[in-house]
Amino acid sequence: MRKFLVVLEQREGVVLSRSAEVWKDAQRIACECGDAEVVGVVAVPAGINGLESQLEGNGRLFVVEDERFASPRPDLLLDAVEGVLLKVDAECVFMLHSSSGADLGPELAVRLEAGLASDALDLRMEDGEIVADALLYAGGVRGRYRLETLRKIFTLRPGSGAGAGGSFEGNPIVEAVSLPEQPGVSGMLGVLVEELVAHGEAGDIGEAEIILAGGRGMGGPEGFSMLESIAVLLGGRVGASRSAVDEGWRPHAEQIGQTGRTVAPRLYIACGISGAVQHLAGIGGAGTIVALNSDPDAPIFAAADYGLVGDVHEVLPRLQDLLEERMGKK
Amino acid sequence: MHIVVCCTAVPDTASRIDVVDGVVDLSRASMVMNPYDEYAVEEAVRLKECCGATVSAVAVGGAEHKDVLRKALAMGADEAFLGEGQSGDAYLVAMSLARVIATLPAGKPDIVLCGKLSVQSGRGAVGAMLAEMLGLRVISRVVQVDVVDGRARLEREIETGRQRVEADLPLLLTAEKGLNVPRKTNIKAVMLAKKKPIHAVTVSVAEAQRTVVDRLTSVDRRRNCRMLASVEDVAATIMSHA
Repeated sequence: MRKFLVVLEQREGVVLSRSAEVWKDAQRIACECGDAEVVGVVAVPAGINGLESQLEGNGRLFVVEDERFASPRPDLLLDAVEGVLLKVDAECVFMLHSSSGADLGPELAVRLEAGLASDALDLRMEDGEIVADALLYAGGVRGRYRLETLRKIFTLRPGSGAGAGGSFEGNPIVEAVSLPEQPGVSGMLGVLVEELVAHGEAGDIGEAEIILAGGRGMGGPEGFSMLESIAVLLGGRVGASRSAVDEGWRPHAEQIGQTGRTVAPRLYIACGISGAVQHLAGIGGAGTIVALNSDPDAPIFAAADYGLVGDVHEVLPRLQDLLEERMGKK
Repeated sequence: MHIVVCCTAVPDTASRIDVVDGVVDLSRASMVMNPYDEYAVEEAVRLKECCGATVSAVAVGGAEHKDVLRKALAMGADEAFLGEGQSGDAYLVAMSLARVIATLPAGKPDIVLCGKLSVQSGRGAVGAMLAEMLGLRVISRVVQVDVVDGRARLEREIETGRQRVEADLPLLLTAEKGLNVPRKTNIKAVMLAKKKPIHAVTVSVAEAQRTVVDRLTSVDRRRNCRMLASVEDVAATIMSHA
């Protein structure tokens, strides 16, 4: 029986939605392969239980518990994941291409002499092989990853599961795993980590299914409060283009694009954003894109599904009123 | 202290990049230093200025990387090294860098600085692979670096906020946007840099690529945009997709 290992991520006892999508992707591939089992591994601080009930489909879930996992610790995770992988003899590893996965995937690839498909999308079977696509040159070129090794590692672009739909019966069975002893790992003993949450209540923009993003056309930080109100109304988050971040109107954590985040929300509303190639690189996976801009020739309109030419300072307050009415909040 | 900074040349992604017969055509692209490597070079030079260090700039691949190494010298790197050979997947690039770093006259690095990722491949794998090969801890996406008495105090930017990390040297760090503002190089610095040699290092990595990317095509980001007539239409559209 083939074994596929999924490295999962959780926050405060909840599996990240993008991470659960990776688990489902692995289940889908396992179904297509026939004789395959999906095994998960997740790191938790003390006192976190019940993660298995959040995952659809059979298999096993190895839970690695240590108080230091209260903050993301890719450094501690590496040995734990390697241990589980060798224990079950997994041939393929899937994980989210997050700040954790982007370190863990390459490190594992070196240790296991495995090929690595980074920030991959559209995971699928082709001619009996597991393959996925790559986006290069700020999303301007698409290619197909082929891994020429026995063991394969895929770090998947958040929200990119081709078959994130469908459902699977059952839940995995939990097994506890302890963190391996790590004598002599250079720098290990001297590592101290604490997390400062600098993002206020906004959290991880990558988890958002609705994003309202503002660009230079917002004219200043005050304009973004209009976006914030609408975001609260819709249950979404605020994003920003590079221009808005470079002007100091919004933090880098909200930047979307080539030198910011890649997001795949169900709905992306771009306000006062011109639509430079580098920005579009961050939203290729968005479901529906709505663009508001005062310039009818703005390139964003060519990359959007719906557009309105207008002044955001007039449109957004009106939009908020209309949405409030429709949602029965007035 | 010996600081090694890895840099690479990438096509300016605002330029025209086409795929012709499955091969990427960069003939109309201008090559620039990978933006994330600019942060890395700047930080290396900043650490040199405040703490005293020798900075070795390293690149691997073809002659297209020479201009990038010259820029690193102009920004303040002390020496530049080019590992000659073909580029390959992240694994081969990291192996080549590791081979070059093993030969550096200034000895083993105390800090290796890389950009978070290259805007050409977008993988961000080389830094972490290189760290594993050199036996170093990797701390990625750093936006703040302070070094005191062989111990680094760092801040890294992750999805939920900034994470403060302290660790002993030696370390490999990858630079995130916001780490610093890369200095502009003046004419004098550029002229002086031109006089410095770029040391060629032979790198023969006799291994096959482990990761191949084939079936290249241009991505058409265009969508069929339906222009709406009013804010009422926008509200209706949002409600149906929210």
